[in-house]
Amino acid sequence: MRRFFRWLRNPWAKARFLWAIAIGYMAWTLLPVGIAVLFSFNSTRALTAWHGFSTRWYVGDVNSVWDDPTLKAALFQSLKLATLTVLIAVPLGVAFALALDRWRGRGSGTQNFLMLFSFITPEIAIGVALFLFVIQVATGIGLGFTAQVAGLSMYMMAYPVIVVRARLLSIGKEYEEAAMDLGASPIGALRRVLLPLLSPAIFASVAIVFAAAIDNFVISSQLSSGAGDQTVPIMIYSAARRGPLPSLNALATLTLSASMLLIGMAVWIYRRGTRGERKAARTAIPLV
Amino acid sequence: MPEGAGSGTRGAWFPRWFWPSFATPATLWLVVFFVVPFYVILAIAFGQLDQIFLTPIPVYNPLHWNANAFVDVVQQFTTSGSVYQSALWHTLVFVGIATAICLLIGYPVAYFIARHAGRHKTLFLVLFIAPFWISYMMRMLAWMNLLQPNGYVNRGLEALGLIDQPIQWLNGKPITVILGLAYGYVPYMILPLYGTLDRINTATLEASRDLGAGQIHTFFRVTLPLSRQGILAGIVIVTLPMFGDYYTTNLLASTRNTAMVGTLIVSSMGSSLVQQGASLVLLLLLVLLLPMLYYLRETSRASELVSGA
Amino acid sequence: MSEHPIERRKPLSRRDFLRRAGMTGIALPSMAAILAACGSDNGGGGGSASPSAAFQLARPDNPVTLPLFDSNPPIADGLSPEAGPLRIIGYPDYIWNRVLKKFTNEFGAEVEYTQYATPEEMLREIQTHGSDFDLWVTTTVENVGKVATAQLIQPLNRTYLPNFDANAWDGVKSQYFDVGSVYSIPYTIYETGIAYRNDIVTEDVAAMDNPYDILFDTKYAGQTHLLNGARDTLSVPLFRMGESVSTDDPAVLEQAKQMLLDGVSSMNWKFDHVDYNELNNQFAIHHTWSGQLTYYIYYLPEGVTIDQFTWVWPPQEVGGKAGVLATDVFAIPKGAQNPVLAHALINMLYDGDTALENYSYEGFQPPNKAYSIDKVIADGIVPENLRNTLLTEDHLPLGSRPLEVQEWELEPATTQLYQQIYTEVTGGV
Repeated sequence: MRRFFRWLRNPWAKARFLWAIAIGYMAWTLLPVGIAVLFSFNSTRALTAWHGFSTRWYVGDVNSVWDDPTLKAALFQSLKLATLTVLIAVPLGVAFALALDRWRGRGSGTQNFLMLFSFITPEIAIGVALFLFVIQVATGIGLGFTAQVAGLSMYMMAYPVIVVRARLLSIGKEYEEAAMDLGASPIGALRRVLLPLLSPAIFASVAIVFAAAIDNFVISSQLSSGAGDQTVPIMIYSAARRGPLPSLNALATLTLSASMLLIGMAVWIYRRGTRGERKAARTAIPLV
Repeated sequence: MPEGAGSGTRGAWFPRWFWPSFATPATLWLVVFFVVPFYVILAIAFGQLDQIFLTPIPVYNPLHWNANAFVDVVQQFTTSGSVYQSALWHTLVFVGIATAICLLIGYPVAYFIARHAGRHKTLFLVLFIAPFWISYMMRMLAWMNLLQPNGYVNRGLEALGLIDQPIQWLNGKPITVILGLAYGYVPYMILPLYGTLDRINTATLEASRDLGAGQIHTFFRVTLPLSRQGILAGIVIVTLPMFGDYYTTNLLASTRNTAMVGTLIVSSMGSSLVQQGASLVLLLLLVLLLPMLYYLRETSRASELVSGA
Repeated sequence: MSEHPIERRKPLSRRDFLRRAGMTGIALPSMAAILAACGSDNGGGGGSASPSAAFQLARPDNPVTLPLFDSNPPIADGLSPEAGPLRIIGYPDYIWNRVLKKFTNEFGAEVEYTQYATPEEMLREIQTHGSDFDLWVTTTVENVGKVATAQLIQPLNRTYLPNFDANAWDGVKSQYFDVGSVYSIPYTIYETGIAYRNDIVTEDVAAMDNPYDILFDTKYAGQTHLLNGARDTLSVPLFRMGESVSTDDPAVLEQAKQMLLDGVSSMNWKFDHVDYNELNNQFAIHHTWSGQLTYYIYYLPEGVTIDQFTWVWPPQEVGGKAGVLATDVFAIPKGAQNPVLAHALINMLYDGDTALENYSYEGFQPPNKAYSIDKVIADGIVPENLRNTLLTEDHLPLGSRPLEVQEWELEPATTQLYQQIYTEVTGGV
């Protein structure tokens, strides 16, 4: 033990202390999740003792994700909700980011303010507000899937705005201006020059919003109508308190995989899409 | 370059309405699903109650608002021994300690990624931010299983000889909730800290050392003050959601002596105390308004600087 | 790039910031006007502020005939069933799917079942858009008078319910909270009592002077569960003290609250329904409903048999303490679009064979003459050692036996008080 501490305190390797913390943090953060994923493949219903590998909780057991109708429904419900949320939040957010970046008129600051405000308000406050809004004012919508999509897409709009704005800043206006000098109309310049340049950022937003929406709990549970439209997080919350089975771990692992897949694709597309710029940056003569 | 029709941006061909119209759909969406619902909260908190069912009747005209119910709720917090007061106390204590833990863990990690990760910076950043896209529920579920009386945490502690009897972690222990909150929100702390630490110019640190300050000295007198912005941003980003948390405490403890303000809000909404729930939400927002506005001001300022407005 | 003060161009001044924040707020008054216009259209849709008739509290010694309104007549006789679908709002899984399929086969109408876990949620739905539902499964004794007086449910037409007249226990045909069964028809009847594992709990709870004491016995701290509703939870200290479970005496309620607060810290109760998953966890004693015990036999933990469960209902025991005997009732929301179908389903559930079939799955007893206790035991719906969970016609009409009480209607302010005590005690978890 003492040797370990002496190794840590070596003045020539100050970073060792930090390395230890970093590795320790990574273990603390990721290991529990890894264990949860592992136990989704447990051959018995135990969650605290490993008894061998089996896929029964995915397919086969009567309580598995595939065979238990409520679990399967929750999985599809989550996927549906995330997809629709992306389809609304990303276009609205990208358009908003474009507007903010280009427009310096009155009112732009207020709208930006509003967007950021929606981002940092505690989710329970938004959830309760939406719930009361839906049952008192928007009774035509009513609680349920539609309300969940509407509320969630509002809450998620800030992500594309932030990501796309950051990308817009690094792109600059030269490309569009060049296109228009060459005769393109504003819409044409937008469509054929700006959007392709933005596409890595747009795809990154898609991935982020999808991952966030599929994991959303507070707003979707406040707006859910009884037991009819449970999503995976809602299901995990109610089942975990009563006595979970490994099929719950399996369900969580499946949604995790969907998110990971999308994020992985986004990272790959982003790196490919900005490959030229990084190369240019590296070979450019540093002026600063 | 030809000027556009008074839009103000350099070299633009766009008509004046072009870009603002892009913002309209999102703004409309925000107004309908964000601003209006909060007005409904006001209308209910200051509104009437149905005489028979005690369900809330919203009152939209501010002139007819009645603050009695709201005042009653505020008074509950000052009544000693009431569950509201204890929930408030728990919330402050849990959030305070959990935030401190987040800072203590997050700072070294962020520092590490910013200054020592070298070529692998992006890889480390992705790994450390991974919890963002792993479902919060799944992470809590993972801990619930580990903290069972016969789970791995107890087994590990017993193997190390630190305990004789299994500890009932999930039986309403505040420490479980605090650690759960910290576990859940540390990634939120790391990101802004990393942002600030990354931007500190190495030249500044070298200058400090040239002037004779040792490593520790440099850290406390140069790095730490320069990263103050990030620390404050991180604290605000982490504490705001924690104040509204109810699911962490319900999953990891679920007893009266770990109840937080969020638990009271959610249980009010599910019973006939909806007006009280709206008042609680209003109170929560009022308390958090200053930190939120402070954070908004700082981010607005930062984004203005970067975009060169 | 380093941050030199000179490089800080145009900082966000406080004035700019406040102006932006203010612009968001300026929009509010105009919005108020819009919302008021929307809201007033909406407010009259469901339950409105004051009923047209005065609202009386029903008691066994003060039975109430619920008022009829011209604006809320029952449906006419002799109508044929609608095309459907029949939209039910109810507790999760409270009518067996198989029975609903039988209904669809017979009447040709699909069934849509919307689930809600608590009476408050269902009440809220009925208040805001009750006409979107055809059958409410179920409302409680506490609420029937209120919803009828507020014209949220419609009076029933008994010509469509011959099976009820033929098969229902005589004692339920007219109850003190709805004399003549004008607005409600009972669906199930049950007791609220104490279930415990007789291999863990060594005391003979049935023989105790006050069986409710076992719920406060610190020997079983951490292994005792109570129900999670304001009335049910408060019934425990109130019964233990020998008080009325519908009292509005603030001093008594304060005592009850104190007893619960002490119990929460010494006993570490969990508040929930007995869920089959819980049987795998550490549960020794549960304050629960008699119908829940019929589930136990299917979800026993390893090594445990059904004989290890015992049911105690204080009114039946030597101690002479009171207990709850309750009924859940059907109601049809006002403005329902398929009322004939709704009546048809109620009628079908009172058919002897269907009632027994539904009972075998649901576990909650229907007040139906078509079966006997012995048959229920013989069919295996209820195990022999839990025979005392079953009720007979002797217990009816409700309110005829002083120890077998219902959770009566309360004044709104009192309801609020119960809710607040419940929140105080549980902390909202």
